[in-house]
Amino acid sequence: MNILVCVKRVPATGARIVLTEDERDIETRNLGFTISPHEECAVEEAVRLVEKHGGASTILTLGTELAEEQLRDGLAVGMDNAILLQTDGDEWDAMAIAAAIVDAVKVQHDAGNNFDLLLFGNEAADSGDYQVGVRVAHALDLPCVTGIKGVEIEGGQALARREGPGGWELYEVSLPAVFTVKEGINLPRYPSLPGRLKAKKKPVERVTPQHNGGGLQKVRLKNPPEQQSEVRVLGEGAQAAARTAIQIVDILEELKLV
Amino acid sequence: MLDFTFDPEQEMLERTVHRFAEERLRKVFRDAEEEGLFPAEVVREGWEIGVLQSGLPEQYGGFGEYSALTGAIATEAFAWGDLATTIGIMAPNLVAIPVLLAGAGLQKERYLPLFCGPQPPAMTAALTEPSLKFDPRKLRTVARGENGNYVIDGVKCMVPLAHEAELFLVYADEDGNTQAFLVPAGVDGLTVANRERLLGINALPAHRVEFDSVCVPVENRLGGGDGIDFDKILNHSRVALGAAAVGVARAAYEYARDYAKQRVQFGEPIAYRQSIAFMLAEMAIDVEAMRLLVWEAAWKLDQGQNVTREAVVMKHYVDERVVQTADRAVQILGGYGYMREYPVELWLRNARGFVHFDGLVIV
Repeated sequence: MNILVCVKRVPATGARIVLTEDERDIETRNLGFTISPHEECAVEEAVRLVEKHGGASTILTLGTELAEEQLRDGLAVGMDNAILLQTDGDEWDAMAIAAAIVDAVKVQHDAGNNFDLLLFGNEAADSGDYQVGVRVAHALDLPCVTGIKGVEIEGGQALARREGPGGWELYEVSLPAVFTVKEGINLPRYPSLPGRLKAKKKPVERVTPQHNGGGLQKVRLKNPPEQQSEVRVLGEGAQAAARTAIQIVDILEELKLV
Repeated sequence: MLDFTFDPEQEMLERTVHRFAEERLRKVFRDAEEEGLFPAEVVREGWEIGVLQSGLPEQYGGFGEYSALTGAIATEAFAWGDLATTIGIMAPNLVAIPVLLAGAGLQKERYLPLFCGPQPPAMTAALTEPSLKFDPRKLRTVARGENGNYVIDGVKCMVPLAHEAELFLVYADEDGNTQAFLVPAGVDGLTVANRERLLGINALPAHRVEFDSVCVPVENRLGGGDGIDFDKILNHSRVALGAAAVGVARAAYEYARDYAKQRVQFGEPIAYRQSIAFMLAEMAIDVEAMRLLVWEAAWKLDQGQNVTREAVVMKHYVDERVVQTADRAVQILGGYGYMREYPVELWLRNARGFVHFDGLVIV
């Protein structure tokens, strides 16, 4: 079983996002960085599959040298190899990223490293992109199931489970295949310090990817307006109960909740 | 001079432990405290992060990167989540660190590999005694040599996880010096007595343990013929406890700060009131100062220096400031601060223990 997991370095979720002065980027000085919860689950799933079926797992990301941190985290939880498609920080859209990953997969293939499974997070935690995995699958002419919450491997086939309305959708897919993974497929382990120390000795393969142009250009970022909550005290004490009950019904109607 | 930049491993460790503390410890700590139930599964997960394992020599299965400073960084992050479970996660250190620092060759070979397995070994240490004049350098528990054995008599208290321990590191007075002895559970004369009812850290079972003419062979004396440098072991304990105190103080400060920013009274958040803002500012300064003293002592320990002076100064300062910071957090929350629905009253109770913990934890 040879598995590739592609991840993206993103600001730690929950952090308050401040924009740079030119509003073209986010201010990263005081931010922590991570990968999305979906991708953490993809990494965990790859480690588990290799533990069960043998083989090797590779973690790949496209980004600046700072993204090595996320690769090292992946190595610390048990990924075997790491590839950094190193950029100088310029904007890469989903089309360009997918093309770079496809190039990297082909280079690995030519070197005799064939991936049976390519895992992605269902969507990026920062931009909400859900395209890269699907584009890679299309370019490599591989079957693709998105948003999976379970995978089993048997006899060269994968059985992928996806949550559907009121039940599970099951997909039997021949390998190699591309899956995008959704949070909840497993409970990712925490990277251990011994794992991290072992990871220190593992090399990170650095590749300068070809920017094949994308269709999109970032113009400006904008923080959404903060959600306002409103509190109204309708009345106090037992006497107010009957009156406020009517008012509550009025408000529910006003909000179109009844 | 000091460099305050974390190396990549310390950076990952701090980030991981903080996340673990937030996602796991903060989810279970209140129920665990109320019910007095030790959250063993969460403690095992914390153990798997592998702070101790990475510090033991490679020949025993570790990674040979022992650092009191790295330990302090992790301990602060764990204790920010919860103190009782932090002590539970680090309980094996009570034996591992003294064996690492002072153990004879054969003792290291026998015991250190046990700490590098997937499960934390059931081991603990017994130092504290139920005495008004408790002084770790003048213990009332006594060990005396007799026919190639040591015979130990005395009573210990607040021994964490004693009920399930398979091995005790027992500190006892031998001719006026504090020495340590490896005592397997189940030997004649060793009784794990009642669980103690404490002011705080109620999730952690801590017991009274009695030694009535307990007999162990001379080779169970830690350090063999050389014995131990007790001050050195105590200094490691002080640094670890100091780091845990910083974690508790930081938890209290951050909670009070966030509360004060959103609690509106008289038309504005109470954080805008000088009486609150000054308190919060001083709490923030104290947390930073506590941490710097801990890091200084830890760094000097890692350089192999004698840090008794620094450790005592630090411990005295943090023991006082952690109580003051937690107390101020209770004050800032007003009536809510005194209620068990809010965590700050627990942090105040836990903070009060640090003065008494010397000997309870050696990390």
